[in-house]
Amino acid sequence: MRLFYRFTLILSLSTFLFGEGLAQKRETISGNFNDVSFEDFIKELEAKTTYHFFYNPASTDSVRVSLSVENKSVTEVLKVVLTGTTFHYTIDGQGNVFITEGREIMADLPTDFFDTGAEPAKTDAVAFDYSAYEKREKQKKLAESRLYPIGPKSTNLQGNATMAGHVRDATNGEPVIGAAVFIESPLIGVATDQFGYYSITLPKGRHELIIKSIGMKTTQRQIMLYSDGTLEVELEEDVTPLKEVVIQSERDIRVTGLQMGMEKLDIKTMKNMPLALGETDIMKVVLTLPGVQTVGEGTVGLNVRGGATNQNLILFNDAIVYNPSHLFGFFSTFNPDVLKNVELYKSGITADYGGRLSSVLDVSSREGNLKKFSGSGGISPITGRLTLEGPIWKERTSFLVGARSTYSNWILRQLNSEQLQNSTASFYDLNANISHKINDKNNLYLSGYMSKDKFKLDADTSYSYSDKNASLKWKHIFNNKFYGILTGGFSKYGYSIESSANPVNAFTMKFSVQQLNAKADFNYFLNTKHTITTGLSTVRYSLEPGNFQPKGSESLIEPDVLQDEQGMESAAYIGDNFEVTQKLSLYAGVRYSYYQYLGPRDVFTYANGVPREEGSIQDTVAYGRGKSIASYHGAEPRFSVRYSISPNASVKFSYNRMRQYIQMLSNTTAITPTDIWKLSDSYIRPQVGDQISIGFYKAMKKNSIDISVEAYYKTMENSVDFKNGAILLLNHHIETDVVNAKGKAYGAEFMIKKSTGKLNGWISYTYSRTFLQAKSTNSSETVNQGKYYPSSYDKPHAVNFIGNYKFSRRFNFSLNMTYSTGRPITLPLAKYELGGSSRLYYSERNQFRIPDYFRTDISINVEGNHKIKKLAHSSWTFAVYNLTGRRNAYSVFFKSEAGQIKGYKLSIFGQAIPTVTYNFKF
Amino acid sequence: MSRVAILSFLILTVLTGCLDPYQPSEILTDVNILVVDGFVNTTDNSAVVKLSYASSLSSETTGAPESGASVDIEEEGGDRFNLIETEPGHYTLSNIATDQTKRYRLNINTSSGKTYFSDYATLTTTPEIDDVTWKSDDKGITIFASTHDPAENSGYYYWTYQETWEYNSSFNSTYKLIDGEGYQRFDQIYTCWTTTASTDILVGSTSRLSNDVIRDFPIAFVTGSSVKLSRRYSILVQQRTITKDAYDFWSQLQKTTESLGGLFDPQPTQVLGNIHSSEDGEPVLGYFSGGEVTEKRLFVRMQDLPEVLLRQRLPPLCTEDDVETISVADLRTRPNTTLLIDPIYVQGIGIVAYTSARPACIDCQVHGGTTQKPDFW
Repeated sequence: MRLFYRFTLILSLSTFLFGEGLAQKRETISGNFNDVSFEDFIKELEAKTTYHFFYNPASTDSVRVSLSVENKSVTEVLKVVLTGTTFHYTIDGQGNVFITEGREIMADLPTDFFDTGAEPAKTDAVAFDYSAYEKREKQKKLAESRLYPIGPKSTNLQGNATMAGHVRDATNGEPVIGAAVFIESPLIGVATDQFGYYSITLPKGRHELIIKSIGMKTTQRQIMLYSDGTLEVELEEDVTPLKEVVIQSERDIRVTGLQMGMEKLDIKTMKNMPLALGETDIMKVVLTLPGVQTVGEGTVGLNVRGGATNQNLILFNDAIVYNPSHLFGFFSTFNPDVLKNVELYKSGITADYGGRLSSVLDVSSREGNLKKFSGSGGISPITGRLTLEGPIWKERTSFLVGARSTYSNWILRQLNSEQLQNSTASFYDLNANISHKINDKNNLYLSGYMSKDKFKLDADTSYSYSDKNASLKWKHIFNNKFYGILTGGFSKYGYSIESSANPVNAFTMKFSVQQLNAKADFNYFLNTKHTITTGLSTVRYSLEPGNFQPKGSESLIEPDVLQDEQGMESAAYIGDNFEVTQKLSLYAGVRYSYYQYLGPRDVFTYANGVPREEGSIQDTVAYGRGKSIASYHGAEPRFSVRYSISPNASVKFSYNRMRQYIQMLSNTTAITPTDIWKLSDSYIRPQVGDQISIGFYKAMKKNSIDISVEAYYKTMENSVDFKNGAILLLNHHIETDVVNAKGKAYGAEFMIKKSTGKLNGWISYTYSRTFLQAKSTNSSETVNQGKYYPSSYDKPHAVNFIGNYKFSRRFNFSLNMTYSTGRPITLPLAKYELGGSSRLYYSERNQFRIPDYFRTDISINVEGNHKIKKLAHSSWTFAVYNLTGRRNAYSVFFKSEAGQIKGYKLSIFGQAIPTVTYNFKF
Repeated sequence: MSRVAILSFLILTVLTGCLDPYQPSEILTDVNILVVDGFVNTTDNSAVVKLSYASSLSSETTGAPESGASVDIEEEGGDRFNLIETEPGHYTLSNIATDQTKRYRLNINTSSGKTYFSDYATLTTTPEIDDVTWKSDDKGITIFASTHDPAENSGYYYWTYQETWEYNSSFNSTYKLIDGEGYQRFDQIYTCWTTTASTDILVGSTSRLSNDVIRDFPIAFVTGSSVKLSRRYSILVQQRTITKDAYDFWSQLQKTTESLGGLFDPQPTQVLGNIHSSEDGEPVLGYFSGGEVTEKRLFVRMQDLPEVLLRQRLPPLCTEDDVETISVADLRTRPNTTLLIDPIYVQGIGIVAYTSARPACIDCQVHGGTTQKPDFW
């Protein structure tokens, strides 16, 4: 508005100086106007006369014109049109017409207003050039002050109506997830879903709708809600303001939301954190959250609240990811440039998720810029990456492709170690997304991912593995209250091992797991109090558990192929989000899953009452194609409740049961690329987990500080553990090496988080324990005499500090500190002589611990200058990982060397590691 | 679309792992676990059973022997053969009449009155070693064994070896000192032979192969700079066929004590063999087995080594700088342990002095060998 006034003032001045003595134009107009907008009416006047009109369209859009005139002067017409409104008009001597609200402006200044007679610079009324930013600002102002009628106009303003729409990022058209859409009196609010979609039911009438999201500028819309209708909203990115504006009105989502045990990180937060290898790695960021542990740095496996690494449902755009790691786990498979956000659910998991016991890590990528072509990328000491995105069909179809690769082979060759020089290690990954808006009611999302890793240690055995997945989603909006999503997905993970050092023993070994899944999810916003979600899903698994083949003509290797495995997992769920009162809301849902282990397959049967061993195989039963060999099913209830003690504090409680029908078999400490997955069968029963969790949340200092405490207790049935010395690869009767274990885990997580201000970050402390128990009447199936023993990721104490300080728009300093108790290990108790050398007698499983872990990292982000017009926006990140150079133990082990027992401690990042990364965006 | 900016980057460092010695703080408990290493050799009809106890990690000594036990080998449903303790903890018996078709087990009654027994073990037949070969690279030489079983029923192999090598001291002593006088030496302390036994567990399997063939199984590696390659090297490879259970035991023991430390190695576990205590739950370590042993010897001559390895051979331990001259007069003050190399003659006078050096320069036995030439040499 201010611009507009300045504009008119200058015009007025020029009028005064040049227009003196000029008579007002006396042009006339004829025509019929039937309920046309003021804007159209003025356009008509401008077309038919020589007058120029200046007005604020946002404030005049409520004015409608219905009139029929014959040869009337403009003044007369304006008089008629503006009578009864708050608008006034003024006409200056040059035929400029100013429409103003509230009061008239003077077109003429008193003659003695200027006492100098100097000739002023000539101003041109149309020469103003709004920069893109100003234009956007203007549009935003317009959007905010304008009154949006929702639904066809009616006089009946009794009852409620539902409005829906999308919240999008103004710069690129990407949906904004988790934005709060609400009115303040009475307080009614909803959050946008993964598509940026919201649906809110409000009393009819006029409201100020507020739209808020982290990292975006808060905006509002004046709405006049007549009946059901839509409203699309665009939000602007909040460009690191020098002076933070603290918004007080909104209540904090952590406190007021129903969801507990959930952490959401957007890519902006993650990019500020210092990292070891110069690249944002979401798996490493997730590790800094309370309740998330890992067995060692440089590994990708997550242990969430005492769960095993295979108990996490890792979704990338709704497709399952089986191995989220590259390069032994130093990198995760998610290219940071294509990512949008990550949500980790540790408890209170809703009924729409299923299939894994511990957690859900839902990773979503961006959809691609709908407005203009752009790109980004980066160069770090080990990897290079490039992402391109843009519209295919402006505002309707967008694409995003990302690629990442490593030059680690080149680095390895430079190393001063012959073993490493003869080794190779490399990976690449590709992402491609297309999203298409068919019309207002239908959207399509296609997402594909592919990666490949190859490594060879010391020129002998080479390994390679690859992950592929794709998903196609169709979202259909039936009406404002009801929408559905149909998803089809495909995931495949496979690896192969090759050795050709000795031609006689040269072999290749392959493993793969593949799944096809389809699901339909529906969301029904029943009324202000109830939101119903329901759906169906089915997954078809096919595994190639091992295929061992000779390589080369000289090889004497006998081919050995394990029988393929098939399984089908289907589920139906329904859940209701019920806001009982403003203080109390709850979610109740149930998922019912049904699993079948399917033929064709020959299954061994074992003698009863004796340990399951090769020797106790009694018979083989052949099952035909598609025949059910074993089936399991069960209900998975999910329940959450939130009660607000005060506007700034709440308590929450949740319970959930999960079932898992596919497990990873690994007897190494860390996840390895060659771990195998195994479907539940007649002997390996599905895992079942129950978790209760309770939490207290409080927002302080005008919501800038969040405090939360969560405690949980968890039990797990049929976890997989192994007999001592189990053989997992190419085992035709894996059930003889596996023991079913019971698990229990409990803990408490404390977190203080400051998300706004120059200084932001969080500090958390977690106390957690996790135990397993393998008990059987057979001693060979019993571990540690059937007692509970700590699992290898049981780390009771963990403290994390993540701090971020913005010196200016361009300089940003981050500090991470991590402490945790060392993980349990099995240590030797005694030595003895056998086979000519000293041997070790080990303790019972996991009775000792490696030394505690502590690490400090820092990083400085330097953004390029903020000029609007330049080739590319770039930034530099200087980081030091493990600043103190502490040699944290990754593992401790003992070796018999030339007859002597020697103990070693292995550290991976045993010194401070500085890195420099260059990132760019264009 | 804008243009891609010109990129530049800087690599400051790459990750490096590091390995530090590690000694856990007090973890030891009083471990008094019996260790049994028993084998019945049906090739020469002998049995050797070694009994000892495990010791704590921090103790300097190796396990204490179990002396005074009564040890016998029992044929399934048949005779028992009592073994005789020949040295503390070593129980042996020769001329044991075994029947290849029968199974045998070990019974032990310790001096403290505890009883232990093994599972019944099948006696295995072992094919001959086809070949023991060596190959060199620029680091050293690797010894390989190859074998095959025409009967196709071996499947699992266990190897041990004995290395013997000849070496010289730096100086050849021709005189020796006896009570202050130099005398010509008739024995020699210049050339020695050392024999050592293998310390690694070497097991191999052909169960995944279509034929029962082991080709070029790496047995041992000798670095080029080793004293083993200074004159002549020999290795005696001994081969046994073992059962699948024995293979599992040895390969697990190998995994848990020889090859742990990689990022993705399996976690170590307790490895218990086929010996049991009559008391429930008492762990017993070790293994008992029996069968034929075949062997083959290989000699490696220095002239066959490639130039690259010959260049790596260490120079003699001592040089001229280590040599001192002792006059005949001074000799009388020297103890008998002084070693002489050669006499120094002056024409017309005779011996006026002797050259001498530290024993390590002269006596090869200082370095562990024996001057007795082995029979097979």
